[in-house]
Amino acid sequence: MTHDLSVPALRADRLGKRYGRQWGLRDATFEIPAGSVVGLVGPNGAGKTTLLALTVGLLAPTEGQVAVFGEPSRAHTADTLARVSYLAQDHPLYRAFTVADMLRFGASMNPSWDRALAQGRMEALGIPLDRKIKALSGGQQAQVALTLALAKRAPLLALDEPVASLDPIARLEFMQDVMAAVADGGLTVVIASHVISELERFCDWLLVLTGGRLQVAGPVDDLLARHTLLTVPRQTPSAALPGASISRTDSDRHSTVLIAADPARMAAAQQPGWHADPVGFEQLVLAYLRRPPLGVSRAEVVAS
Amino acid sequence: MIWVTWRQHRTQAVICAGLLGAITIVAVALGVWMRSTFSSDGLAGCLASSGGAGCPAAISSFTSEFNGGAMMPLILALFVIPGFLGAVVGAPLLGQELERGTWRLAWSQTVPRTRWLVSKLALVTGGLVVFGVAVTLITTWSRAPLDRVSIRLQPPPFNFEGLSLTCSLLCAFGLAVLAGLLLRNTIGAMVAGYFAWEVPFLVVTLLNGPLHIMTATARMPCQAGCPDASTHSVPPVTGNLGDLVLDVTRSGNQMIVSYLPASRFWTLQLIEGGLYLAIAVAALGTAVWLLHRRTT
Amino acid sequence: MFRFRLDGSSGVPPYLQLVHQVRQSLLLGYLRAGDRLPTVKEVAVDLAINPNTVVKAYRQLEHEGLAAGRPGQGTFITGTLAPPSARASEALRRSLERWLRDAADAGLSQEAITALIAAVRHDVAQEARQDSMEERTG
Repeated sequence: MTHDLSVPALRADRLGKRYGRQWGLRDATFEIPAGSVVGLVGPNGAGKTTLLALTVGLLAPTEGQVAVFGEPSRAHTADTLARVSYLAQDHPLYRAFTVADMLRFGASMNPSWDRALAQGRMEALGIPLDRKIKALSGGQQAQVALTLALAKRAPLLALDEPVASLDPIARLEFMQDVMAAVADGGLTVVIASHVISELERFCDWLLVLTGGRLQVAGPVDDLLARHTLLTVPRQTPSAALPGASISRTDSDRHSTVLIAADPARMAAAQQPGWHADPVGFEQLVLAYLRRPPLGVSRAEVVAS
Repeated sequence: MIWVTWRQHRTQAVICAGLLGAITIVAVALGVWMRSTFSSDGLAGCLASSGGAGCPAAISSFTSEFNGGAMMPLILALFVIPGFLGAVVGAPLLGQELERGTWRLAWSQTVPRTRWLVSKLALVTGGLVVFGVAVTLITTWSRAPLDRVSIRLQPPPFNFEGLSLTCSLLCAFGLAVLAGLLLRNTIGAMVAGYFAWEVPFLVVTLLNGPLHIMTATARMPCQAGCPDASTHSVPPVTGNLGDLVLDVTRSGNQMIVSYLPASRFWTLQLIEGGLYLAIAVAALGTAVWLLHRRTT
Repeated sequence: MFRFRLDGSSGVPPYLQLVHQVRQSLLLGYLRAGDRLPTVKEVAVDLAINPNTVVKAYRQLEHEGLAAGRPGQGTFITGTLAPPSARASEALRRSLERWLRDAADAGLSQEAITALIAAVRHDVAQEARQDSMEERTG
């Protein structure tokens, strides 16, 4: 899988969106290489849907800019809308339509529609074309919605909590199909979710949002390499640690601190009584999620 | 967008077709019946020879037979249809998309939302115009004999002949579409759209009489010693069966008659239709503009 | 076809799990030189994991000389993992028995022995990981 690093799939530059007096997203800056599968993590209301809507072209930014494959997104224009496929939360579909009607809808509304792909998927999944959407199971509806997004053949796919309402088997089948599409090449995916445990196997890039602010942005491998779980004596001040302290748990005689430090500094700073452990994906994300969002004016961008 | 609009409004189109069919059947039956009574009462001959002056009794009985009972159901339907149908067709267009969240599907395809809305509105408006014109033509044909011997400058006939019905329908439609955008709710928008439409409807219907800007005045010599000419004589003192006589006063040897001539029909239709249409255009234009400028 | 499995809760990164499974199968003789590993897409779909993870695992295997990719044909097992020689195994086994008897004599309970073994194993593995991390990013 080669990434054309010269043109990032998605690039945000101090992106912000205000609703009335509240900022739904503020000062988001990041650059995601083509071919990545990005996990966009955050609690409900953190700004994930806002970020996706800005990317898709359903929303115009209040501040800053977002570009898809080098082209700045301008909301509600055909050019911008053509570049991103969007699967909104709860996979909205026209419930009175049949499956065939939904596919025809996709064909009518998208010049880039791949009819063979759409019909092939329905056949492979065993979903009858003449059945009404409201008569399908939740998992089947999600698959129809995914088909609509995939058959549009846009190079960027944005999924907003795609499996939240699905049972475990439907979830698995859904994600298998997304991974297959990624494996076929030419697709960058952004998955917004508040369920972290399942993201590790899918994502090689991570964006963590809380309170509208980006807490961390970077490739997963790098992030895991540059964070350590350090066990130190209780009195050790955070300033004495070889990196930024992300989260700290104090016991009677010792403290466990998750720090962001590059491995060279870490190795050099080892002291007796100190013990370093690698951090797991879920631990890392949780620590950043719990971090209070104030005082972070720029995302902690870890260069890849 | 043509297929998508058709598919989303298919049920409504079928209902309209059914409605049109029912109206056609009733109107044709009435029209045939009216025509047969017209000829059996000898009214054609009477009109040709004396312009109606020679058979006032026949005319009276004809008009009371058909103006009252027989046409009532059709008339009631036609009173209700524009407001009701316009609201029912208009409210879900934006209201249901916003209510059910399908806007996130509809507006993230490759068609920008403003173009989506304008295309839809153009197509649905076209369909409503076809429906309105068809109903107007059929009911006007049906009522033609009655129109020859009575007034059509007032409701009920004024409301469904000419431009009035179609423009009224579009007015209700436009208001309901706007209500759907503002309320993000289908049922609420239907109700709000309908009641908003009632305002111009009542204005137009209740104030229909006092359109005295269009009245004409005539001075006529009294014949046979100025009989008690009233506003309701058949034929009216002006001699034209279609005139609406508003006031007759005596002045010496003359009658001063103020009346609405039958020939004013189309002018008045243009005014009323124009009012409805202006509201429709304003409502739809506002909806398009608001959607275009929406930031969320 | 060789099928992988993924343990989402093991704490071991997915790509390493794939590498370990290949190594283990080689040791046990279930994979032999010339066998074709499933394609990246097949594994990604089967396990519902990122295809890049599979690519990484296969690259690691290539780096260790255990597999090689042939363009247009797939990834094939090339190396073998020699099981430890019978003599080396025998020697290790005897020294382990001695150590366990020493531990029991020193008064360690079974739980204490297990804990000690786990702790030392962990430290040794961590040293090896940090060494390889420094090697790659330093």
